[in-house]
Amino acid sequence: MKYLVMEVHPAYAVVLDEEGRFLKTANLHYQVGDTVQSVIELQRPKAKTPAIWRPLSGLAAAAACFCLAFFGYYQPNYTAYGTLRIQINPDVEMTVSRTDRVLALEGLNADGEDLIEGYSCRGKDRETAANELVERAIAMGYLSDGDTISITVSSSDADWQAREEAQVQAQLKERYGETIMIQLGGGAVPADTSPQSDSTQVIIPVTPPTPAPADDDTDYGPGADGVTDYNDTDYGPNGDGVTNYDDTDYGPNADGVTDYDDTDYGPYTDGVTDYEDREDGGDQDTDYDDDWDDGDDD
Amino acid sequence: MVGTEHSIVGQVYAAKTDPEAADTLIGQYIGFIRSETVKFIHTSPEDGHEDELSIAMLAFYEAVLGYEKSRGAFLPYAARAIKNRLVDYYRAEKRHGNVVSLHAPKGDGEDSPMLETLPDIRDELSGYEMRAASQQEIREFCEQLGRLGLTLADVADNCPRQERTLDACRRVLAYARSRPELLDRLVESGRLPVNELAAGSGVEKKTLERHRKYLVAILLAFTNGYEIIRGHLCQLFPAKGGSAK
Repeated sequence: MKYLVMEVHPAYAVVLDEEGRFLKTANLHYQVGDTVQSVIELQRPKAKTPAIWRPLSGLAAAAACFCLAFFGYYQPNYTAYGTLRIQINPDVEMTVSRTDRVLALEGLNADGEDLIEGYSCRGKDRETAANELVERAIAMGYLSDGDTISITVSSSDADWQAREEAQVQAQLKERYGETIMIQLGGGAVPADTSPQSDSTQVIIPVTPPTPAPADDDTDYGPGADGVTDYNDTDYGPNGDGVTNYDDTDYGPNADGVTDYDDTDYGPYTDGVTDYEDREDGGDQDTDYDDDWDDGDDD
Repeated sequence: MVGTEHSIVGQVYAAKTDPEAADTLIGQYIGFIRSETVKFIHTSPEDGHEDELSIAMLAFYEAVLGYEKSRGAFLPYAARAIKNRLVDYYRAEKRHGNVVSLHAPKGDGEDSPMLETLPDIRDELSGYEMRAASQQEIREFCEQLGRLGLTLADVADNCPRQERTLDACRRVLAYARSRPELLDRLVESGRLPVNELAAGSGVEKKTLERHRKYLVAILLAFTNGYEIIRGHLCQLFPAKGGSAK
């Protein structure tokens, strides 16, 4: 290809090639009218791509950021993923996010409303909230030793639900397991009633607290249940006479050790008739009466 | 702050469109171009490296055309452009590495180059006359273009770069050559008869409008009196001209 040099400038020359193109080339000391065999053509700056991608890329970046924030942070933290229902007697339902963040707290009965009144679950996780609610229930007198907490987790994600149930149960068991029964599964079971056998139930073996000496009224009242009461302990052969009713029965003047034991529980005596006799005060055939009379007289 | 922009930015932007401003700018910064070239070739450009300096000047001009002020300072950009262009040039030249230069010594103990062993077939005198005639013709051509408000630089910028577009322009030219009155009308009125050309050649009017300057120049070359240019354009119509590349 031959090029005819048409115009020269310091930095470039305009040449005409044989196909009718006018080109700008490097001016390798050309003169107008020269015919040259090869040229170094000017490289024109590439036409700028339309700036449409610029706002679009911004948009795409914004969308990506949004997606990241939504799916990475907002959704696991701030959207409801399941509910955790705690039934003591107060019935409370927590709405929990995937990351165990408590989103809402709702009382399902009057006691529940009462329990959560003034309690803020804001920013707390499930564990904290559950613990605090149980604390509150204990503080407010809804929950006492030996009661049952019934926990129900529900979610569309079965795995999550199972995991959550296990966690809640383990957590509460660890903290209150010695005194309180934690029961899993549904059913509005009143806390006071004995746990039913049909639901998945975990009964933590609670060592029954040694009861304080109960009132006389309860033990000896007409409605007393003799089986559970203290008759065995008190009046058995191992009974401790000191703490018991000897004082009351026999008065300060009695010489309990020698007289009474022999007479009351001895082989020769009929305790029933003796007391009646004594109370009646009529027939005093027995030795006791004599003894007593003598004693009194003495 | 107003006025912090270096004055070269304004000059560069003016030079993008105005060839004279470009020439001025390059004249002004020839020292810079030369120093960048020397940095690359490690010797004086006059010492057998004139082409490198010319390429560096072309690269500087390319940098002028491609510069955007939002993307940084001009001179570092130009320096980089010059360096890249020289690297390209050296790589291209390497392909001819195994070719012995005619200017190399013959190797027979004498100092004369090999060039002298070739028979001198060139007729210097007729060559000179030929070139003078070409210069004369080209000068007239440029003057006529100037009367139409065009420069060759404009035409070169407006020249179609895509083969398909170039073919379309050739079809327009072929049609115009078959209708000499259209060419005459162009010379007289200084206007391109776009409608007739579009209708006659079947090329879209939009294409004609886009390459109007180029079409004016090439049609002008085929009016009377530009035999040398026309002779140079022998491959424009290879079927008719019959000459191979």
